[in-house]
Amino acid sequence: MSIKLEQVNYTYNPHRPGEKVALRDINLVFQDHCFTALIGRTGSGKSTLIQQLNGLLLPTHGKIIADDYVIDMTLVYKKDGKVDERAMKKKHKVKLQNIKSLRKKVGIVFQFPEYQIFEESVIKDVSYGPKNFGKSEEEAIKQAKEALTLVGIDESYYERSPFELSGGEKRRVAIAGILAMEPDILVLDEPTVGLDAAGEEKLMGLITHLYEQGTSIILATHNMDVVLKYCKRAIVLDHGKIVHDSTPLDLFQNSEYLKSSSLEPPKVFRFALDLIQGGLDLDLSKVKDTKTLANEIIRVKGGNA
Amino acid sequence: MKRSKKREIELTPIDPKIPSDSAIYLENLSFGYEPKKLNIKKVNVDIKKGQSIAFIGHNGSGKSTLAKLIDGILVQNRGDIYIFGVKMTDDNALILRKDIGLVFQNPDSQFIGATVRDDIAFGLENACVDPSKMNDIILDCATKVGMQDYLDAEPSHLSGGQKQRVAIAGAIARNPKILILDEAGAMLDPKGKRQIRNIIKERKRENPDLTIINITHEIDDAYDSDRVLVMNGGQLILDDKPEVVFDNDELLRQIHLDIPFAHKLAKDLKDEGLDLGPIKNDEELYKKLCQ
Ligand SMILES: Nc1ncnc2c1ncn2[C@@H]1O[C@H](COP(=O)(O)OP(=O)(O)O)[C@@H](O)[C@H]1O
Ligand SMILES: Nc1ncnc2c1ncn2[C@@H]1O[C@H](COP(=O)(O)OP(=O)(O)O)[C@@H](O)[C@H]1O
Ligand SMILES: [Mg+2]
Ligand SMILES: [Mg+2]
Repeated sequence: MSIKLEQVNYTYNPHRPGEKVALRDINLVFQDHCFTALIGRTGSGKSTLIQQLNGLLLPTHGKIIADDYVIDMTLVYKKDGKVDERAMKKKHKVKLQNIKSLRKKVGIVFQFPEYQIFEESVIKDVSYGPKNFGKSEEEAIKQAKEALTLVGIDESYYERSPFELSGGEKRRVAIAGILAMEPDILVLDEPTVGLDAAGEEKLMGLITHLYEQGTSIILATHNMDVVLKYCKRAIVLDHGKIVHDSTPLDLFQNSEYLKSSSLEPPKVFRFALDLIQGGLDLDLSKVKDTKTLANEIIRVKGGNA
Repeated sequence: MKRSKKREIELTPIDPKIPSDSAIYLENLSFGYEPKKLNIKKVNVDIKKGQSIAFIGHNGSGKSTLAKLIDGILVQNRGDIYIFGVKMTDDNALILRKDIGLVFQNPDSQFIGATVRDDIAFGLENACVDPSKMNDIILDCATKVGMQDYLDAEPSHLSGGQKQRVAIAGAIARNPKILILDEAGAMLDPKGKRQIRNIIKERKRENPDLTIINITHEIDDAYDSDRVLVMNGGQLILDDKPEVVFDNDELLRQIHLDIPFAHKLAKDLKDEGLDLGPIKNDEELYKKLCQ
């Protein structure tokens, strides 16, 4: 499944105090089976963009096409060429038909998903989604169990209260809640924030596994190590606009652009650049983490063992 | 358990057995959220006035819980907490807290005011600041964290990282003697993280007696500290200089923590057949590779 955004604009509290333009003329296609990072400083619009993808926030104007599901908020003009505000208001009042079918396909894991847990047992919490989307109790539980297995939460947890779990465990339960709905596209808002090194590696391992199984992945993150190692495409937002869109490699090699932005390549990439400056003929496209950098160094220098 | 809200009474005297340079003194501190299980187990530590402490440990090791105990939000089952030598009790906890600024891990959980300005002001009122100076202090602190344009915004309308900045502004506005940051930079972009690091350094320069506890997963932050405390499963298992703690790769790995970049790369090189011997830091690794 692909999602296309056409001229998407979003303003919080339009014509009211606290009015804030959060997205400006976003044109973007998320291809089927993508692994895409959304980056940009805090307040640049990542979370707002994410919420457009399954209709949680509707564009103030613009169009979103998710396969055959279309949210059409394109501007309507009056004869005199001005925007027809009344027609736009009307558009926003029309209740979206069948929005559940979109929400089922595009699953969003929010920032700190552990704070969205609300049921009294793990299994109830995770089976809530599929039940809400019309599955029978039995089927919902089956899907919940599969999702929990996938995130590495075993049977002994099913009847426990989610509130008793550690932060990392809670986050995995919350992610299972989304996975149980078997989305085509999994969207995660800063999924690795607050996880320790082992937790981060485990979670990214899970996300990569889902990607390999065919799920599309879109994630907002500040974690450039994650962008370099796992993502195929990096989109940079600034003040609600797309200011850069390339592979992570091209982004991190674009020193001119980086200088003008608040971004910095991950440590492993910077160190590889230093080594190249120092005379090692490394192939940067091979460098994803310390392991692959080690391989590159040995390719050009040879081992001593 | 919640503290009883008794009227404020005179501080109990300083306990003579606590060293006079102590800011936070924990003695045999144990705590459990539930009756049978302890989440903090017999922690003993003496944090000195003016020290910068990094607190590291895996998720669930008890870092946030310990911070809340020190701030008097949670009440221990056993053991004692002394703030500047004064033993914390139900009666004086609210007074002792005035010296402590705590920035919580989840910024959503700590907003009270209707606007960013109100929220920072609220903390100031509690700290009994001269009302005529309040506006200047608020603007100054908001500017330091880069949120001066958002003073009239509703906290709930801010992005996660912006909330974290406001929370930090609120904590430093009160000019506390002890500043505890619970993963306060976690949601910020690299530049934001650097800003926060600089704000804290600046505070420290202005007030060398400021005691700082930085709960963090970032090795760079921890390296900047005087002392690193390592929590594991509710216990304090290591308390040493950063150079010593981060030289202990085996232990760090065992307790699920990150190891310094140079150590990681040197180990990967060794695993792949290039043994460079012991490596201290990036520069040394660079020299050995590019000589
Ligand atoms: N509920 C809201 N009401 C008003 N403004 C908001 C709201 N949520 C976010 N904003 C504003 O919109 C902008 C984009 O925010 P957000 O999408 O959360 O950014 P990011 O996720 O990149 O940090 C920010 O300036 C933020 O202050
Ligand atoms: N409100 C709570 N109720 C019950 N258990 C909790 C609560 N908060 C934390 N815990 C548990 O206490 C332990 C320590 O948690 P915490 O102090 O948050 O760890 P850290 O900050 O090091 O990640 C964890 O096992 C966690 O699940
Ligand atoms: Mg966000
Ligand atoms: Mg914590």
